[in-house]
Amino acid sequence: MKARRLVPAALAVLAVSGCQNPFDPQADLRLILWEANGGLVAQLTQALASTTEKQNTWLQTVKMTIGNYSSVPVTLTSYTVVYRQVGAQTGAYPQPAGSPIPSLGGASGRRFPFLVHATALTSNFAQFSSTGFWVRIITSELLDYIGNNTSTINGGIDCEVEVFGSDHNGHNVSVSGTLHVEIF
Amino acid sequence: MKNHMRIAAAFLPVVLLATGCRNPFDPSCDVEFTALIAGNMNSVFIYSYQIPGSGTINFDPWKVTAQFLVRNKVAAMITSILITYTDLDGNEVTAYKATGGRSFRTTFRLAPMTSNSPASQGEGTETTISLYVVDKKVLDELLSPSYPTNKFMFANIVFRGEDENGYDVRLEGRIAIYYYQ
Repeated sequence: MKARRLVPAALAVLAVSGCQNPFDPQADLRLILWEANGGLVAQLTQALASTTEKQNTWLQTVKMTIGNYSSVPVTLTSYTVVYRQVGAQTGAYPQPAGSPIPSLGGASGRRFPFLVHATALTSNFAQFSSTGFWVRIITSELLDYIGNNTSTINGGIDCEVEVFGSDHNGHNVSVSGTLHVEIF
Repeated sequence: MKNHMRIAAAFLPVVLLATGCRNPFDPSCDVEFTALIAGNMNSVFIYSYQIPGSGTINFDPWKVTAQFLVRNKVAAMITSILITYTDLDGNEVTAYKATGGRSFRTTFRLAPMTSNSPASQGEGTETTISLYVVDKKVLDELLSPSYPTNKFMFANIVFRGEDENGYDVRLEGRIAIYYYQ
């Protein structure tokens, strides 16, 4: 009789304390590294952004590496990017420093689909299972915006990225981070 | 006692179905659509310098590879592919919208696992299929002056078929296409 009461009580304690259900574990994803043309940041030239830099693959390449600290693999299906200008936005619709850029989707940003398999731990010998993938944050419209706005030089742009997917036990998972774009 | 066993045997398939488990005596293919890759990247990007003013267009740089992982011993046969294209707002675009997308029949086998050894099989048996997601009609749409200036296009790819135990297979993924004018 006591054992019967103990099982639901144990499950309730697990749920309340935020622990994972050991019979239905969820993937544990964390952002490990950003890589872009400027090392940990992206670097663009304002005067060239809407011309020569539009045709330069290397400048637009941004790689995200995530670590899966669990043994549950994940299918990543989309990511969102919110573009925030570090300095004040000038022009027809001025915005204070740190605001999302309205012409690039504003506070909801842009959502792009993709399909990536994030591998999981298969033994106890590694800290996490690493997966690297490329996100196309530096889009044609971002380059046009930078090319048309000299105010972007004042502090650059922060790209807030959130990647979404679901793990192989059916839980929704996400991982987020911010890439800085330096503009000269 | 015998009655209990009969009831349990009859009840087991119902429990399996209700919990979403595979019937161990008639399993369906455990396949996952793991990745869409274009030129080692996770999206398709087209530069204006890659498109000649006249003559032959090389579509190879924009070829997309679909990766699948079969995690049990049931193979599957892909028999048709449907690609639909949308803009940023989700409106169907390109000349294919008149026919509900670009559809074609094919035959491609997704190979199953052949042993239970994780060392030799990893997470499962991987198979890849290459597709020309970008074609002339897609380019015409992106290059059209009336297309939205952001030049984003999204391709939704659906693979359909049947596994070797007769279950339907439907796998779907999306990839973004970016045009840099």
